[in-house]
Amino acid sequence: MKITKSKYEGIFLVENGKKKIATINLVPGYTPFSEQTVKQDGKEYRIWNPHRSKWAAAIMKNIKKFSLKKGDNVLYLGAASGQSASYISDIVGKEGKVFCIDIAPRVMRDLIFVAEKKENMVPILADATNPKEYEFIGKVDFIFQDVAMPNQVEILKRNAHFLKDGGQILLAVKSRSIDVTAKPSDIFAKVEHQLAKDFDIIDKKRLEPYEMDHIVFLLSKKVK
Amino acid sequence: MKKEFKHKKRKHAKSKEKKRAKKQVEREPVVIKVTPFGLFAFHKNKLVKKSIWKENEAAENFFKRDELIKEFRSKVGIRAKYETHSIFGSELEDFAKKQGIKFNFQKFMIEFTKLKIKAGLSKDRIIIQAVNTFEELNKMINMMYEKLREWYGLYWPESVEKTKTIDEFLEIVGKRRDGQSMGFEFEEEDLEIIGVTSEELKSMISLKEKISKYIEKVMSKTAPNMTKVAGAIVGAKLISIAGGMEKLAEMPSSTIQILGAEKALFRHIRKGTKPPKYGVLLSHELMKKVNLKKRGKLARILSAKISIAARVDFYSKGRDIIWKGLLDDINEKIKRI
Repeated sequence: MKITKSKYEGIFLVENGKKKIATINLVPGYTPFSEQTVKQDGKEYRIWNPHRSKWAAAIMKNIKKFSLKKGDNVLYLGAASGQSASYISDIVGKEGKVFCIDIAPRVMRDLIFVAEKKENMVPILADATNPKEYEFIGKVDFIFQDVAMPNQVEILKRNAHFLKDGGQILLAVKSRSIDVTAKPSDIFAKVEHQLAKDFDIIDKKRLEPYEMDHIVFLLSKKVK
Repeated sequence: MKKEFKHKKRKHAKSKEKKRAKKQVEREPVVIKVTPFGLFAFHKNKLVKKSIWKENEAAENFFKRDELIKEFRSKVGIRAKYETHSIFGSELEDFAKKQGIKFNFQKFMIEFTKLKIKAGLSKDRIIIQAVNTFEELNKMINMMYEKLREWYGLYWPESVEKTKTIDEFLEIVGKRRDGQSMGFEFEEEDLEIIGVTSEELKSMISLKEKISKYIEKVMSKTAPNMTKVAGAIVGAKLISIAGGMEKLAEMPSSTIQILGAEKALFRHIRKGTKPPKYGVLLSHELMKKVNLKKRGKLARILSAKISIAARVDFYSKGRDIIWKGLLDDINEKIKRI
């Protein structure tokens, strides 16, 4: 088995016949989502499944290098049970923080168990459409947004002020949560148009075959 | 005598003056800084009072902070305007250092979020789980009944053929046949396992009844009007699909009318097929009494009254009883459709 660094910081390529990606487990031995692990040179790597995480899918589709690094503070909108967020937590390490926002108490219940082990994950039960509820988190270096809401772009705009200058955003858009009847490509074009007003689009990737009718945008705030 | 009196009066005036001085309203406001580890009152940039919470009580105290702030204000004892500022983020870190307090924000947020989750729970969550299990159990019973019919039918098809309901079938299943049959010859062990399976099916049926009784009991306590107007199970299903009492109470009756028919609704939106007339409401007991063509209209009438019942139940917390009037309305309208 060959483990090499990828172009993304903190993310590794694991080659064992098939290409896989992985992060170094912040809490060795703890695998809350019964994910695969690989041990090498005293380090435990957690395999990041692109079928379960949109960010992993975007990476497998070779999205452009993004700025997420060790020590970053991250705002994660729509963290759900914290599966993807737990990998972000691995990447930013103990010096960083992942503020996990979700509105649903049921998934937050699962996330709390993960956060109790991963001490850089901060659970926040709040509505992403109302950032005032978590204004206290201060500025962040990176934003992940994966909320299944029709007004996704509006939500991102409302949260963009958390981002430091030079920070980046990964935004996952599910066409069906915006409009079930329209063609996905039409919706993505519309979303792109809306985004272009406030953000620079660095890259975009459709997530097929990992996820149907999804797209991930890599964005930065427009300098005004 | 007169002198003494004067003296007393003067003394009295003096103390009054003193009191007035104390009670004088300060121009500078008192600023209460609210932190996840305690309350701090500042007056003229000086810390005048603090109340530091224990680490294991911090989240709970922060959760009921409004109450504690009131209490704290009265203890400060300065007559002035009070302002409260919540501090967080990097400002909080600096402040904690200044006050010499070790504080773990992540641990605090975990405990705080736990309290928020707890506070958001209510009885309708239990109803949802119970009715979902009930539904699933119902499916399992039907499926098992079908399989068992086929299974035992290999042995004694003539007897199975005669039974029309599940109860009738459970009477005969596993019995040794007498007389001629076109069935296959079963050995002892072949028949025995059918007997064991049918016992399991019976116990599933009795479990279903138990859950049903339970739902009726809880529903009539938490949603008495809905229970009478929609029925306990139908009402519980509506709560489940809506995602809770609050959400159901906020729904228009047109949405309630087609709850449970989401598939048909989206088919209608996507492909332009006919819109659904009813979802869960089809299993309402009045539906069976009405002619097939009138069921859409009945669903509309029912949903209108159920939406009222749901609102009264939710906002009065199950205290106000109005179902009699609603049922009268329904019966009146049924006559006219």
